[in-house]
Amino acid sequence: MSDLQTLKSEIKEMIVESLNLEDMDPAEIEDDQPLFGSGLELDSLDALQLAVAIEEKFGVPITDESMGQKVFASVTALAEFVSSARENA
Amino acid sequence: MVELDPATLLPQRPPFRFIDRVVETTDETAHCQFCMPESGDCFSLRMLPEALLVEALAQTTAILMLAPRGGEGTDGPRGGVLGGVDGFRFDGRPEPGETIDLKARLRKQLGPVAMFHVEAWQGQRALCHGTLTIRAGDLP
Repeated sequence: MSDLQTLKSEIKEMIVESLNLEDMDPAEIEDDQPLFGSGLELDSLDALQLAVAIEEKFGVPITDESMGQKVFASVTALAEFVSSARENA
Repeated sequence: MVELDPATLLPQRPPFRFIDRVVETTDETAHCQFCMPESGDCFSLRMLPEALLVEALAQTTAILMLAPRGGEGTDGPRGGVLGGVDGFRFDGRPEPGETIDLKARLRKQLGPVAMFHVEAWQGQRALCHGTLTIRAGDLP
């Protein structure tokens, strides 16, 4: 499994754990499924909880709302953001 | 420094306003106080139920979000809703007549949604701590 694929799996587990989605298997979340709106149907409160979880788990801060809108587009977008931030750290 | 009046910042009115005094606010922290009444409709049990202690801390976060910054006006939101209560631990209950110190520290904010670490103390006695998530916005 590639590093990015491993990262996506970690992010899916983090989403389920940090948002207490007890009935959801992380594997059910598709890589390119929208996290908000018609996709996973997360809301702005979930976005903040995810931002805190990402900062704590990966040490990568999401500093403002516009960045969050891009980063939280999907698990793929989130994994690419975390990977890029780690490389540039 | 001019002391902020909670009655002008919060929409809640007695007996459901649980802030008597704003001790201090910074951009990321608020410290308020509430004195437990000796009697009253809301306090016939002579104790503050845990849910109302959480409400007092939520009102403390509201003070932090609604207080004017650096002498600027109050053009920001005029209210907010409590969106999340997480990781609370209760270690004690205040007694009538005791003053409770209510403290909030901004942990993270994305747009109108903010997460706070909050704690309540009576003197050196910890009453509770936890995390509150608030969504700022004008009230209807």
